[in-house]
Amino acid sequence: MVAVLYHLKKFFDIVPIFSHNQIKAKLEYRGALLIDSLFYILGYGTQFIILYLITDKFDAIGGWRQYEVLLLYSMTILTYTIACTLLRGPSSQLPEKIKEGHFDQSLIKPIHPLAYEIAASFSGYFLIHDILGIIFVSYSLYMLHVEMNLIKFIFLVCTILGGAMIQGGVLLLFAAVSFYILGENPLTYGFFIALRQLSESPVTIFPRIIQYLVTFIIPFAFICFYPSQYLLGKNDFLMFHPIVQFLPLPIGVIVLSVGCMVWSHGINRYQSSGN
Amino acid sequence: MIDVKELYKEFKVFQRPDGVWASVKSIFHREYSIIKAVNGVSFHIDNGEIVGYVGMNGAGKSTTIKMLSGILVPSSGSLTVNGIIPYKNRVANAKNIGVVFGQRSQLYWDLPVIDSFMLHKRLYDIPNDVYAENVKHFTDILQLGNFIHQPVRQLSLGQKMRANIAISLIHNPPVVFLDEPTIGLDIVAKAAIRDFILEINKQRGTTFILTTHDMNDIEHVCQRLILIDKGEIRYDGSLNNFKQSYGEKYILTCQIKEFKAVPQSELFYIEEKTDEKKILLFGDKSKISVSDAVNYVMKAYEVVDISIQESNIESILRQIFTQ
Amino acid sequence: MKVKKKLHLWYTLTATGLKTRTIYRASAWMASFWGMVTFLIQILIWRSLLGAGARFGTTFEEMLTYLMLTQIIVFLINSSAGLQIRALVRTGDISVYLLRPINLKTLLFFDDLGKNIFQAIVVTLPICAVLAAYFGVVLPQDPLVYLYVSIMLLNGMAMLFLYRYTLGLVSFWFVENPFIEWHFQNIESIFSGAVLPLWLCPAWLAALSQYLPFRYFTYEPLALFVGKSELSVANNILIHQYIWLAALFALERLVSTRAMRKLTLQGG
Repeated sequence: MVAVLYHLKKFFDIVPIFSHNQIKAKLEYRGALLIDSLFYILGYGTQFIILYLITDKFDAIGGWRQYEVLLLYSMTILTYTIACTLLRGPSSQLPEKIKEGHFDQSLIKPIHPLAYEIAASFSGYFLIHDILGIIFVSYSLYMLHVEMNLIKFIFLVCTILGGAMIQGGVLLLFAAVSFYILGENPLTYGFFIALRQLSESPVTIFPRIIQYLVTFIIPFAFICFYPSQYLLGKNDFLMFHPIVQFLPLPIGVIVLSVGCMVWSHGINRYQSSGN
Repeated sequence: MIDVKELYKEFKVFQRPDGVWASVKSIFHREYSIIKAVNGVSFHIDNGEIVGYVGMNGAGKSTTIKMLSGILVPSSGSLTVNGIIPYKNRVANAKNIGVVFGQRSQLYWDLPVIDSFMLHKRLYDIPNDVYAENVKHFTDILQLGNFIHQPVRQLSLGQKMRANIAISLIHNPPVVFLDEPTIGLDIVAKAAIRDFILEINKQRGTTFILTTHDMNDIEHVCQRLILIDKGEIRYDGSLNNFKQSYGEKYILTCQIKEFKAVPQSELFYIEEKTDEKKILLFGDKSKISVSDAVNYVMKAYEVVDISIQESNIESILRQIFTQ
Repeated sequence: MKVKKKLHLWYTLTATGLKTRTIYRASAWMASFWGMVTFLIQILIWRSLLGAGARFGTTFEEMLTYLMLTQIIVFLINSSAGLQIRALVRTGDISVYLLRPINLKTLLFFDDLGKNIFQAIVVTLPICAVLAAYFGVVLPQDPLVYLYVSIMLLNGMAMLFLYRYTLGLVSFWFVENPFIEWHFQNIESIFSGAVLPLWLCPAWLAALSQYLPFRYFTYEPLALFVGKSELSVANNILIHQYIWLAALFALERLVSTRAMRKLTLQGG
């Protein structure tokens, strides 16, 4: 516990220096920043539109109506971008760092390498990406006429946190593979798309084996499907106990912890290249 | 201080197959070979020593340094730095050591040098007065003043290296590992770095382990030499002893017109470089004098040009490693 | 003789691409695995949407045939040109490549082809075969359709590669942002009918897509294959394809020259 506090303190000591600098660097290339954001919005917006068009034509996917499906998509995007905002360093940037031997640096600092990697890549700029997700979620909830009260709001916040933790844990888990197998990059484009699909599709369309899989093995159904059932008062899929609808946060804590542990253990398998 | 016993580090390397079909098969089944980068190394280094750790490329120098800094976990054997096992307690070890990798920078590409210093101040909890004094001191001897406020990407190689050395010493570590700190630098920058190492060692009693390919570095700063070849230690002792025991040796390099079969002699060793039309004669004064050796070569071959290399460390090492 | 030399070079490049794919074994397996997961989920969604009968004049078998062929072709022309060019620019190795007596475009095309053939043989085809055997696919009767579809697909593949390659060159201007192509691909996907076939799209979208090249990549030939468009418009489509092919080629030349100028200005 003392050790955790020590690393946290160090983390908050150094984050401002990195973050300040990252933002400064980003602002130097304002044009690129603008185009980058524009494409970001267009890219995710297009996916939103495609889902909109499919559900417009076919009314529903697996018993989930238009804006219900869009809510699933929105929550997936939001939790994913939050996870990425925080964990870019130790996840998507890690394989490259390992391959080029740059990870050496993190191992000779008086702070846990995970905390160091998060701090070193932290940039407030990427919060812009989270805003898009928030807009998507708010819009879908608005169109669904979900009556918000304090409890539902807290539930929603906890769900998003839990979802982000699940995504983050899985990111770390897979990124850690590159410690064990030097030079491999498990975090490919296809990986992200596949995970997103697992979380944004209504669980009802899956065969039973995948329903078990996304509940017990890669618990992506907890990111948005189960909690959305509660938010929308849908009781269409009760193969497991209804309590699963309230579990995103605890599941998130477990998945993230496992991710952190595997990642930290992977360090010992790191083979610094460059010999 | 630093204690290394029977240290081994093995790497598993994938054997790349040749043909297309073989590489498709390698997806299902592949063969590995084991490379012993460090093969049973033991040594002990006391406080305040400056040790030159020397060997050819791939001899295991960097691998040893990386194990001492906690980057790599040894395959077997024991090592402690200041009583700490580096890979088991990275944080405590990091506070004790400073590391410079000549091939890689510790500085942050976009940050001005001074910001990187500031970052280390916070990371290492350096008290204000110590920090201020070190920055001033290092800025003076390493002449960082001109560029300390510039982003790292604008610096020259020599400037970057000086800044790197400064930053790795800013928390007053009792042990410093320098892995090829003079690589690619001009003579002025090299001299500045050598002087700095000597001065810090004198003032603070800092222990230095230095790997380098420039034997002048070794001759200028080191008292002790550890020689490593193919993962094993070939020599460990004082620099003076080393020179004395190998000091009687010399190399004749001769450009010749054409090759002849010349019998090898007990007295010396001849290496032929056919494609360059060159021969190297490795001699030892206790067995045959330089003039006799020259005479011998002149008689045996039609010599176009000849040069004599007397024993500095480089020629000794060359002799050791080429034989 | 010259042709033989060239063929040999192409073969060597393809083989090298295939080999590099196999060096990183886990990456190769994982990329393939996740690609298939995505594809299977897509199939499941359509299974749920279309059910047993036909909806909006489309049966599940038709959709499956369409999606599988799209998948195979997109994977076959999958280009890492952008990634590779970006890596070359960042490390500065690009100047070395430009000095070589072989066109960068040729090099990347065959390198990609090698990687893609691996993906196709080891993963995509077996899975598609299983799906086809289980659910059944639709095959056109008219031999003329096969002829037209083959020609159109070849054209479409050429277009797709040119487009992806040009997009890769654009990364000269966006070295900092590795995701720019993903977003481009997302935008492309709505007009190309690769995710939602255009015959199921609202009229305005289908009309809009007439003015963009994307539908001529794979949608038009495959729509003809599964019987969603008539042989009578085939010639018309071919003309469109050639016009777009010429336009894409011109665009690629333009971007190439610009990129080269930028490169020489920066000094590599």
